[in-house]
Amino acid sequence: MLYSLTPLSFTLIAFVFALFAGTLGSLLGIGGGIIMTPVLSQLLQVDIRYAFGASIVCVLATSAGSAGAYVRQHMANLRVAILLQLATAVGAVTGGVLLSFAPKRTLFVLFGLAMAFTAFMMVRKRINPRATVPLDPLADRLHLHGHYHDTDTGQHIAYRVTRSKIGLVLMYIGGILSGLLGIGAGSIAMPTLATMRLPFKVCSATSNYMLGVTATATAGIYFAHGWINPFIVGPVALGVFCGATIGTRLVHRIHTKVIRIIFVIILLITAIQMLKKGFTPPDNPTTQPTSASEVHP
Amino acid sequence: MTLPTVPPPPPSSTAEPPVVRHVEIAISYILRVGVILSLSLIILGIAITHVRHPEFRTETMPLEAASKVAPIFPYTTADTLNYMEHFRGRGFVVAGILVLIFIPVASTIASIFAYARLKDRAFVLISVGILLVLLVGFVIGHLQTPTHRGPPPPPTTEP
Repeated sequence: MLYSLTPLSFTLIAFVFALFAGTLGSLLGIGGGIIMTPVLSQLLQVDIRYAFGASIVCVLATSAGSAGAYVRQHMANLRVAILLQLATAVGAVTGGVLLSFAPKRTLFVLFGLAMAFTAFMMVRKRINPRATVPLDPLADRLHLHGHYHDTDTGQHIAYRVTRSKIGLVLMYIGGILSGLLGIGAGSIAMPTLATMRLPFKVCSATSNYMLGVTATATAGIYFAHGWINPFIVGPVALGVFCGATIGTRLVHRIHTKVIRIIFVIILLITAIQMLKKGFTPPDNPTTQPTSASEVHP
Repeated sequence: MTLPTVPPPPPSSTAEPPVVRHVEIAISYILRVGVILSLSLIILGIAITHVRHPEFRTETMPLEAASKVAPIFPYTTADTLNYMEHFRGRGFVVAGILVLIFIPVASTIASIFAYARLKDRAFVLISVGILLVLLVGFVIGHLQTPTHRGPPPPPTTEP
């Protein structure tokens, strides 16, 4: 065997990775599930179902750990978050129902495609925040527009929200993927919120708050399935809480551009890994021969 | 698309009335209390597990085996309470996770009341909708519980 360790060291390693996932998750508004699933299933050889269970808990913990601060600081747009939560929760329940029928390898391919799609959306041409936005009567009627204070640049920024109907449709799809993959839909929520013209930092704050509800719908289903293994999930939740707290402090010091670059890199790496896993010929999906070489490259 | 467009509003026109801040403060308070409760239960659970299993600190094993040392754990609320009564670490960790799962439900309930106070009917309805969908999700999850696994054995039979 390449690696041998004690269960205590397993706990500590899982904690450290979760700390990292929580920090990035709260900074980027992605919940950290897309980081935790590959780390657990490939690096730590955890059964994929337990990895999904831990990953959804990771999303819940990032959301709960960072959203409090973001909502208090008026960084998150609560009205947009609550509106989209409705779509994403319905999607998550749909995904949870489909779960029993979806084969594991298809899930990996779906996951990889979702990541690649998000990365593509994030590197598209930047939108000028002062530019005009399409009129959206629904956004007007529901008073979705908002403003926030960017401490990095010291500016008070007001913004108008648009394309709320497209946002609802995208988040329904995001919810389905979340239910299927345990990713909390953050990677869909971020480009959706950007499409609705929320500023980047508001996107990540809003996404973090929103993800809690999506993840809860999925987590309830996973819990009943017996996929929430406390030995794995305990250190993950703990690490993510600590990481999320770090993330909410870092967000005020880091430039948006830096956050965006980290985001795209992480997405691309994950997308490649997941697609590779989805297209690798079967064997036992949890103990593929390829994963041993990934542990020791 | 040739939709009419509007420029972003000037920053001065966007001051939020203080009552709207109340919704935010209430929700962030619920999130914080929930996090502290959940965190305490999880830390306690992990500590108990490693105190009860001193071999977890010394016994080395292959990587694939390390995540499988505790394959039996509660996955219903009743079992979770049962494990906690027997002072099993995994019961406390799962209880912490259940608190975590309940936090967004609690903040949704809070937003129903907060928007009702603001007389914002649309958002009361949306929040009620979210709550109902979550409940449906929990019910479906409960119905889908695989029966072939059987209930986890009572914690007393384990070392």
